[in-house]
Amino acid sequence: MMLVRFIIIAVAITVMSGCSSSSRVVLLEGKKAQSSVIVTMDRGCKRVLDTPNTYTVLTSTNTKPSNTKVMNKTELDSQYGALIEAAPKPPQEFLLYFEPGSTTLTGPSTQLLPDIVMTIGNRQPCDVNIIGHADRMGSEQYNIELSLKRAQHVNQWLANEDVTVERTTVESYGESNPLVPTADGVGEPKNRRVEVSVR
Amino acid sequence: MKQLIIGLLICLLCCSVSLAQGDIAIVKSAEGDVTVKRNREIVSIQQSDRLQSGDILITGDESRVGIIFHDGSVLSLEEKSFLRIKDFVFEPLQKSFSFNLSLKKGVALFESGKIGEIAPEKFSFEIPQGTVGIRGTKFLVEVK
Repeated sequence: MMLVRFIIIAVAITVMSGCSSSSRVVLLEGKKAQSSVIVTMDRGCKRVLDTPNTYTVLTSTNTKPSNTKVMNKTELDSQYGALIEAAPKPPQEFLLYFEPGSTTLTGPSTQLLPDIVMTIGNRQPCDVNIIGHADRMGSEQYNIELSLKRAQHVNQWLANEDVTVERTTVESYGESNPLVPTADGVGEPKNRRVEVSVR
Repeated sequence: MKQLIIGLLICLLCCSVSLAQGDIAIVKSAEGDVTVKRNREIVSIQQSDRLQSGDILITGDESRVGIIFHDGSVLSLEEKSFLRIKDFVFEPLQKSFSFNLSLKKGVALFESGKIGEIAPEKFSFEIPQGTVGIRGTKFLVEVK
């Protein structure tokens, strides 16, 4: 799974004899271990950034991105500290599991419910996505319907709680976003989940 | 009254739920002078407002905005920035994904979400001199 975090600066500088502009792309530490970006100039030359706190510079007068440079923590903080601080936190995700073939939550999942309520309270204003997921075993349609029913069950619970949510959406992603990738036809309980994403 | 509301909610949910057209992000925070250019109009933006595909985000001096898209990706814009949301499509069941941003000037922080996980090749972030993409790690498992 990949979560990539980067800062892009586009700076336009007009100089007397014409226009030149430059941009800088800095790869940051994301939530997940492995992340990389590929920076491509319009003429096709590329540079890959795959180490956090490295950057490349693109100028309109050059044909390729600069060699990768390292940005030290002091520079990062002084240039972008405020922006990084002010950025919204990525969504908090909760995974809920159910008794086989039913819309009853398992014991451990029931215990997660108060945490969800608390997180919603702490992230105002927030949207909540309730997403049913299925594994690749059995008919795709059956799995989509079951996972959607489960998501609806969670939505009913949430509607009864004393929290404010700007917008709640209830969806099913079917097999398209597994936690554990498998071949078609393979069952995987970890993929049969309802995800509550608090944004 | 509560029974009626719950009843209505259940009815609504029994139909397949899809997101209202155009609504693709929520504004989590907005400091100072933040506006959106939408259909040739300039609208002032504040916390809890919604954004649409095609919107152009503009921040003034000492102003900043933070938003979260429907796929969970995060975007934060510094002061004096000008960014266009070229398009945003996130429909996992239809396997339809597209996410293109374009920064004309200023500073943006972006943290990818589900589109970056499921379909990284469908994401691009344009800057005046080129494009930033997510290098995807997608893999298939096949057991014969």
